[in-house]
Amino acid sequence: MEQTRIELLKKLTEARGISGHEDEVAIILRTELEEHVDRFERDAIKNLFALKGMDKPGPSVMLNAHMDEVGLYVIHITKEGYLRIGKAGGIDDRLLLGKKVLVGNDRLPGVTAIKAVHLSTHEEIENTVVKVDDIVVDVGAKSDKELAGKVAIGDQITFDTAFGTFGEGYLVGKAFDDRVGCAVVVELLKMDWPFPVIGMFSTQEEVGTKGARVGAWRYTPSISITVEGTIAADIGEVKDYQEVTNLGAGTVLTIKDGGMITDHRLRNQLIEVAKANGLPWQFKRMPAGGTDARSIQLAKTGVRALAVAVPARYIHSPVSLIKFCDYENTVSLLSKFLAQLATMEA
Amino acid sequence: MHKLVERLTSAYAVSGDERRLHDILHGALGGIADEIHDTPLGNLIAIRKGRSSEHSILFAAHLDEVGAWVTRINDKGFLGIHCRSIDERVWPGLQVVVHGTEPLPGIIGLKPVHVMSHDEMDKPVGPDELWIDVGLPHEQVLTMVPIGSTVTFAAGISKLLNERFAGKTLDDRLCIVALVEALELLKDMTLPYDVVMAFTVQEEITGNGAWTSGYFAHPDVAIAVDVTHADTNGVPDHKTIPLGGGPGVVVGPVVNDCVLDLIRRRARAVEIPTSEESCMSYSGTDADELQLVGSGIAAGVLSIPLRYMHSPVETADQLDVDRTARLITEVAKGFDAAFIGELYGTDAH
Repeated sequence: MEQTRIELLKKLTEARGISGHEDEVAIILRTELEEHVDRFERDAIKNLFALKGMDKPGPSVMLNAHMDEVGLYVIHITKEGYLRIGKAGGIDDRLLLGKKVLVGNDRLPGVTAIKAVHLSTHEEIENTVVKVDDIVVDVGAKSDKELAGKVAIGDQITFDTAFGTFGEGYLVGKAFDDRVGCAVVVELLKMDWPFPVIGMFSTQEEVGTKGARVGAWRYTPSISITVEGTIAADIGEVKDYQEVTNLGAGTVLTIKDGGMITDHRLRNQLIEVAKANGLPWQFKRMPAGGTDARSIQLAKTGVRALAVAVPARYIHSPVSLIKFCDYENTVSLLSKFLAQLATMEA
Repeated sequence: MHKLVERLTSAYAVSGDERRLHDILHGALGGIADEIHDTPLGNLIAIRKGRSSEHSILFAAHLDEVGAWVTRINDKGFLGIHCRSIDERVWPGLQVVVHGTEPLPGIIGLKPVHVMSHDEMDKPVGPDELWIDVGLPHEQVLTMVPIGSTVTFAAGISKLLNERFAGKTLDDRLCIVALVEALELLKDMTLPYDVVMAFTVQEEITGNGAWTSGYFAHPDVAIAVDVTHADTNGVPDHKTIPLGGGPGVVVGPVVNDCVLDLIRRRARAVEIPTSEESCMSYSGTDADELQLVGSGIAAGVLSIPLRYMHSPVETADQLDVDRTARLITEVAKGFDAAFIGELYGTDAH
């Protein structure tokens, strides 16, 4: 079981998909769920719906995670054959120098250039942040002509980061935000539920929670749970009151963020289930930011929505970390919660 | 790409740890070197015998790589570092290897943008703010990572277009490859004099490997083979030479006239393209020390063009490596009695 789940996380995090380029992730999800759901749908914004028991009685439950990841994309090809780049989603520019990347759907390897230390001044090194506008990707080309048919404006560029185990009980990889959420939703969709379940794997979350906005209109549930990979800043010298969440401390529950207040009654029920089953949970200690949960909450006359997450260090960067126990506990907690929901709502 | 590139760049040897490369080199030098010596500081010196051992020419490439050292461990079990000769702005978002009691993968990350202020994002992350996460409890970190453990960029070669590739430590492992490749090319040839390949230690911090190798071998000529800056987006042309344009040939007071002439002649004779680069005072290579060993050695510098030096994504062109290897063999062949006559002839002095 553990190995199968780790394999799925590997597949999902090594898949590539900045906002608007989520197809590779969608294909993996479809393959994984083929035998477990009744049907799939994709809409105009390319959300992937995995529908299960839609003719069953009872209130419908949406399980949501987003497929896109933050990354870079090609905005221009110079005569010398370098790629000028833009950011897809919120990335700190200071993470972008000297990194390995993959360009376009054919995974052309490249690197983000960094001027040799000997050619930079002390002033530059100590005081200047090289902004994305001044960074190029080098794929080894000698001219723009050489790249015709290989690289095009708009092509996605993702970090070239392999998935693996790390330290004691950690997993390392890119894009845990939100492939870990996708994996949790997959595990829940593999189970059988007595009510209609709408799996919504959304697109374009990182550029404005757009997929969820229209997706929740197409299928508007009674209850929705968005599963994220969220900020854990329990690192380095960050003060404890700024850590937001901690790895290994269990499923993260959002009370309030920058765009919504989650449903108090549902959240309290979830906490009761956690307590009853001895499963660890923690609040997200930063009332800012936003997720697909807000877009779903605002569909039509409104949806009772929850936002839960697996804590992840270094999200929105080339390499991030989660603890496998947090992932396992989140699957357990949500499956127990859904089981109880079935009896409570009936 | 030469098979040694991947093997040598996936090994880790910050200055002081160079013996970690000895096994790989012993393997590579089998059958192409007549003698291999290990010096007290850890230089590995391979000798290919010529018809006469009265004279010798030495080529040097350094074994060590740039890296960092663990200076402190905080109460979360994160490691603080000190680094040298590296642009600190490269560390955030990198995977590294911590060489404690065993190699530990590590990550140097930042707080995410969501909890970072604009002011913070406008300043580079200072050296004291870089912390390595190894995903281990504090107690375990204390036992597994002694203060002073070295830290390297994580290995891995990315194959780019045009036989170009990127990875850590192409400085100076590519030059080691060129020296080995040269010995392979010379395998069945008879050479006038001995050819000495010195794989030196500590080039990145002291040059002590070059000093002691020069003394060990007492060559007539010593040529450092190192990397040089290749054309880079945003850097003026006069500070670099073209990537893929063949080896660089240093011109300046470090380089002996006869040696420079020999290099130029042999390159022209076999049509190996080169780019000349001038440098006054120090070349920043082992040649600076080799020139001054004992009563002095006639020195020269050949270089392989490299982009993004001292970063995890140093980028080179295999063509340049092969051409450098060929030029080394040509210079070795041209190191004959006539050349010795020129070098020690009254005219040359």
